[in-house]
Amino acid sequence: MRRTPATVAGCLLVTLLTLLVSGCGQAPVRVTPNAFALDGPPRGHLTVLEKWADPEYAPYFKEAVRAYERRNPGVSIDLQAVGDQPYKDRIAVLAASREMPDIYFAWPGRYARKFADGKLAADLSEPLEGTAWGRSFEADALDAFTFDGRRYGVPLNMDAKVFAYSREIFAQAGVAREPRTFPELLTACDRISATGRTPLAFGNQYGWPAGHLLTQFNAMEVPAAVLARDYDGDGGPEAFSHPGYERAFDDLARLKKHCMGPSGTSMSHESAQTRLLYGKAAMQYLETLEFSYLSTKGGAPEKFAAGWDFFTMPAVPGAAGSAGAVAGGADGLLVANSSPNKALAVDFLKFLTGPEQARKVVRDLGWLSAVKGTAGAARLKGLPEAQRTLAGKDMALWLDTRADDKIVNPYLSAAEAVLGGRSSAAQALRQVREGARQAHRFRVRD
Amino acid sequence: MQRRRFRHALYAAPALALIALFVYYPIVENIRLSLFKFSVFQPGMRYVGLENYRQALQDPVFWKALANNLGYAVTSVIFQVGAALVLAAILEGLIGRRLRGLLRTVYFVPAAVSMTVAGLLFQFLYQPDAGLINSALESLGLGRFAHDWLGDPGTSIWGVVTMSQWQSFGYTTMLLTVAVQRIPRELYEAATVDGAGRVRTFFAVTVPMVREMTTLLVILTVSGAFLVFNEVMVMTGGGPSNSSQTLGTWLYSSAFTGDDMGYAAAIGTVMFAITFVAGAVQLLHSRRKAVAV
Repeated sequence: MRRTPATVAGCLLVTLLTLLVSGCGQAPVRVTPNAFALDGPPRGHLTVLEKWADPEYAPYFKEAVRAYERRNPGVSIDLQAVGDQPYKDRIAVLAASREMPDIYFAWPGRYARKFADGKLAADLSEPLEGTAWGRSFEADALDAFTFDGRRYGVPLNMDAKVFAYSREIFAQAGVAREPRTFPELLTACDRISATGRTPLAFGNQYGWPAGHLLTQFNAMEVPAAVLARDYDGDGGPEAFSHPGYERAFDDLARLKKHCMGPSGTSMSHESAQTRLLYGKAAMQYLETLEFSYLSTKGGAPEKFAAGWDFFTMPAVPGAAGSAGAVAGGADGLLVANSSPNKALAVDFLKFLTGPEQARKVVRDLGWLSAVKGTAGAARLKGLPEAQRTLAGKDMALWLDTRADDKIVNPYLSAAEAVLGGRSSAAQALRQVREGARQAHRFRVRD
Repeated sequence: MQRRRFRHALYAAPALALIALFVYYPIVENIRLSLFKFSVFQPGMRYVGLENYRQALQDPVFWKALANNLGYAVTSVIFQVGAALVLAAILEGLIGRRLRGLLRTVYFVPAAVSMTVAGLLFQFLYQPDAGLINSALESLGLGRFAHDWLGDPGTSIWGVVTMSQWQSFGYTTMLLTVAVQRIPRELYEAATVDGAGRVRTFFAVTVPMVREMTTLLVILTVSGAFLVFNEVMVMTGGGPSNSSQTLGTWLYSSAFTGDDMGYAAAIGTVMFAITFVAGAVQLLHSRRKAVAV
């Protein structure tokens, strides 16, 4: 290469640019004082980012914002709603740039904890701990956003996994009552199979339905303390060595063998649901948030809408975990640590989770509210029963938001291999342990 | 002279500045980030040197994704360049003018279908219970070949690759048809006079004369195959058991699900290196073999 002034200048420019960018790190976290008391009538501007963009949910939130603005003329709120995956992408980008909206959505468990650990979420212990507002929430829901004894999130709804089933198909198959134990469930599946129908509609195209089943089985088979340690990535070389983990994979394999059709892996959960609605399958393991899809208003045929019921995962005999565990979670809202309007944000959240709005959530959206005493407002079939049933259960937070990020992929991948008949329970667990080992070795955080 | 040079440089400066800002700076920055471990949720970055690249070497999903991209690239070159060139030559040499126009339109239609729609369409075709492919196999008495095409790790990525070929084949055929039309007729006449058959003419006249277009298409299909993302996300999401992951989807998953941004940047750097080298080699090779009329 000839050394001309232009090439020398070019090299210098590149060197300068490299040095310049090397000096850049992430922007520091901006933290404003935790002032939660309003000094006068609510006034100011709030930005809210959440993930309820579906046409059946979005109008409720828009209306709630308008109602708050009407009540407080000095307040304006910029509400943005996006879908699930776009939300994850957008909030990650905002977190990286340290430009958080005043109020934002979070899934429970480790997902929310990342915001708390990164000082991106304000500590809401002061307005929530020991106050009337804090006591208005179901304890499980509030605890899902509590880390190291500090409250970081305000739960809005509760969700749990149950088996929705067609009473008619159960009766035709001679299944007289809802299964009370896991072996009873498998026997019921065999009877339904004999009638030529698929016992359990299952679509695992995107992996999370298998994750939900494993959330359930792990919580039933493994003691809670062991589970928490391993999900957090703190298990060291002994992580995922409890025999309950292998039993959980085995439960999954048995459920697949007795209850699921051959095509679950490539079908979406929604496609599988149509098989339940149109009488081709007897059951589906679905979220209580999906109850609205089982009504005629939600698109279900009248025959099914009138004749379905639900039960939670029956107990697994001899399991070392919680027999009353139910896979589920609570969706919540966090306040940005950098927000200059924390008091206003908390005031808006108090409005959003007040008795009036909470009852609207139950009545209009068909959700289980995280606010106590709202079940009576339910108009949707199954919802009051779900609230009563779940009151005495242990909430097992979704594996994909509860466990360490790097453990989730090997876990879901192993579950898919078990469902596809390519791995035994023991092989699947080896894959999870190897994933946990790699996650520890190449850990992102110290 | 010097003044004119200065003026030329001045005119080029805005474009150069934009390219430096939006193309070269992100590349340099991505390489820099690949030397760190960091989470978007936490402040601070930990310098780890080449640790992210070591992680890739030990990551079976990374190798699976790379193999899938390679398979994707080879298949794309065979169908979207090789087979498309044969079809373009047949269309121009053997098919009558009216039918030619109709066929060109028919072949091009899939390229006008949105990727998401095409992905969903093929999902229905591949459905193991009621999909068209398995139903057709059943009615032909070939039921033993019926399969959960996207649910089996052995066939999931090929299900995606097939859809991609269906969608892009007509588009590249169109481009090659234009290139074939530009070849002077005298060359074909001379080949005929010399006694060359159709196959010989194809290899002796058509192939060398469309080399510029084929070079461009090879670069585009190879780099496209290494950057493939939407098709996989729509049809399989990378599953089952990561069997249909590509470098693009694994990068995305590592960044936004695994929150391992440094590792994602390392995968991005590997993708850049592969497409850059493939493009450079192909350009150099074609320059050496360029044919002038």
